Amino acid sequence: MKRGLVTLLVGAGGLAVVALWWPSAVVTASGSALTTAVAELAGMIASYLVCVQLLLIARVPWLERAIGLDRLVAWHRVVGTSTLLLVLAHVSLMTLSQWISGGRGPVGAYLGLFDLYPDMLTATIGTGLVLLAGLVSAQALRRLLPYEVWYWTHVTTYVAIFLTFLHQISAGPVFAGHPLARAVWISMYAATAACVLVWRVATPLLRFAEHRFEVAAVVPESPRMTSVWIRSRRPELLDAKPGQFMLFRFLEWGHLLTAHPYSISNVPADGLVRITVADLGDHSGRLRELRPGTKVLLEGPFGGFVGRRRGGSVLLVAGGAGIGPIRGLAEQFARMGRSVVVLYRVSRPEDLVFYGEFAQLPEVRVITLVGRRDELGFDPLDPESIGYHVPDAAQREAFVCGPPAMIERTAESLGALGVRRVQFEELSFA
Amino acid sequence: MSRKWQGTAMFAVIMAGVSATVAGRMLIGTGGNDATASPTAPAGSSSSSNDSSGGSSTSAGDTVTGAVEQTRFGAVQVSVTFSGSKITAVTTLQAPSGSGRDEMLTQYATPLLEQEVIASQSARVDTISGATYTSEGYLASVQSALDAHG
Repeated sequence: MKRGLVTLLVGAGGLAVVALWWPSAVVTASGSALTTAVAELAGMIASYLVCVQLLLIARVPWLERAIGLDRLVAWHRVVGTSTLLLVLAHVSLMTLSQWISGGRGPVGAYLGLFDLYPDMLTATIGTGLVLLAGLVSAQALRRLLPYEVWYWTHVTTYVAIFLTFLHQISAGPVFAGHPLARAVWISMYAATAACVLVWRVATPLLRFAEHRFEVAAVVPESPRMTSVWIRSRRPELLDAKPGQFMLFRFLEWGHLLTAHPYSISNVPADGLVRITVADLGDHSGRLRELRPGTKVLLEGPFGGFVGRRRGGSVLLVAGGAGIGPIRGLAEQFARMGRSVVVLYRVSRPEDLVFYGEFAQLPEVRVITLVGRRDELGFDPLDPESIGYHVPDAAQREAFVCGPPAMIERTAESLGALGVRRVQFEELSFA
Repeated sequence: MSRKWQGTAMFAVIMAGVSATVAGRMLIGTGGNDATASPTAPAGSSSSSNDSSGGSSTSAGDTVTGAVEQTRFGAVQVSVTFSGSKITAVTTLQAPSGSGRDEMLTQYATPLLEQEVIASQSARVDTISGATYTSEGYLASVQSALDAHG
C-alpha cells in the first residue's frame, strides 16, 4: 500500500536524523547534559517533521495521487500536533538544562541560552510564530476565527521556519563545525522549499497562463447560496471531475490575499467549472459581488470523493451547502446509467437550490428533507427516516457531504441500516 | 474520536524513542571509551588527538600533554607541568574559539581552572559557571595528563 510506503519513508527519515545526531552527540551522566541531549534530539526530530509537514501539503503530484489532499491534510494535522509538542519540549528542556547547570530560575535560564547559542532571537520569534499557527489551528479556536486569520498565520509560518532554521545550523552541536551534517540539513530544507515553490507557486501560475481562468457568471441560487461559473480557455486540458474540489484565488481586492477550497458542483464541460457556496458571513458571502471577467488562480483538482466503482446503485446524502458536490455527482452517476437517489437535507425551505436542474435529470430521484429537528419532532436523517425513504439503502454505495455534525449523524444511521460502502466529504475542510 | 489524540500519541512515542536513544548513546559512549573521543572518557592511554604537538600524552620532561577532549563548542586540550608529582602549571593548548563568545569564555574560564587545579592538585574541581562544557573538557584533559604521568 502506498499509504504504508509513505509512513515507512517518514519513519526511515526519522532514523536517518538519529544517525546524523549520534556521532557528535555529547551525552554524559549529568542531569543537565542528559536534558540537553534529549532536548537537542527532540529539536532535530521536530525540525525534520517540519519539513515532512510542508511536503505533505506541498501538492506533490505523487503524494496527491497516492494519498489524496484531504487525507494529507488530516495527516498534516496529526503530525502538526506532535511537531508543536516537540518544539515545546525542545524549548522547555533546553531551559531546564540551563536551569539545572546555572540556576537563575526558568526565565533567567532561558535568557541564558541567548548567551550560549547564536541566533536565539530569530529562533524565539520564529518559534512564537509557529506556536501561533498551531494555536489557531486547534479545533476549538479554528471555528471562532475568520479563515483569513488562519490562512495568514500559516503563510507566516514559512518565514517562521526560516527564522528557526538559522539557530539550528549555527548553534546545533550536530551542525556547528560539521560541514557534512550541515550540508545534509541544508539540502533537506532546500529540497522542501523547492517542492513548495514548484507545486504551490509555479504550477498554479503556469496553469493560469494556459487556462486564463476567469469568472464567467455569478448566479444567486437562494438567499444563502451563490454559484460562480469559471471558464477556461483550454477546455481540453481541464481535468476536474464532480466530487473534487479546487483552491480558488480570485484576483480582486478583498479576495486576492487568500485561496479558498470549494467543491465543484457541476460536471465540468466546455471548459466551464461551477462552484456553489453558502454565505457563511465571511469570504463566501462576498463571492456574490464578483464581476464576470475577474481572473482566478486555481490549484487542483483535489479529492477522491468520486467513487471507485463503475456500476451499481448509489445513495447521495447532502446536508445544506453539501448539495454542491452532490449535484455534480448525481449527474455524473446518472450519465453512467446508475440508479441515483439524492437525500437533500435543509433546515429551511428557502435554502433549497437546484430543483430546476434536478427536474432536468428525471432519472435522479430527489427526496428533500426540510425542517428543523425541534419543529419536526424527529431527525430526518435517523435510520427509520432514511430506511423509509430509501428501502434499498443497504444495496447502495453511499456518498455523504455536509457539515461535520450532519456527517456524523448520517454515518451512524447508514451504519445501522447496513450500508457498507460510504464515502464522506466534510464541508469544513482545510 | 481517537483521531483527536493521534498527534499527542505520536509525540509521546517520539519522546520515548528520543529518551531511549539518548540513554543508549550514553551507555555506548561510556562503554567504548578507548575508541572514541568522547569527553566522558578520560582517555589518558589513547587519545584521538590531531594537534601538531605530537599526539598522545607522553611525558616530555616534566610536562605531560593531555588528551584532546571534544566538547559541544570545540576541542579542548591542555598540558600539565609537574615538579616531581606536584602540579605547577597548566597550559591551554587548544580551547573553543569559534565565536567571540567562545573566545571570551575561554579567556575567562581557563585561568580560573588552572588556579583551581593547582590549588587542589587534582582535576576534581568545580566547573566554571557559564562555561560548563569547556570546563568539563578542560578537566578531562587534565585528568588524562595526570593519569599518563602516573
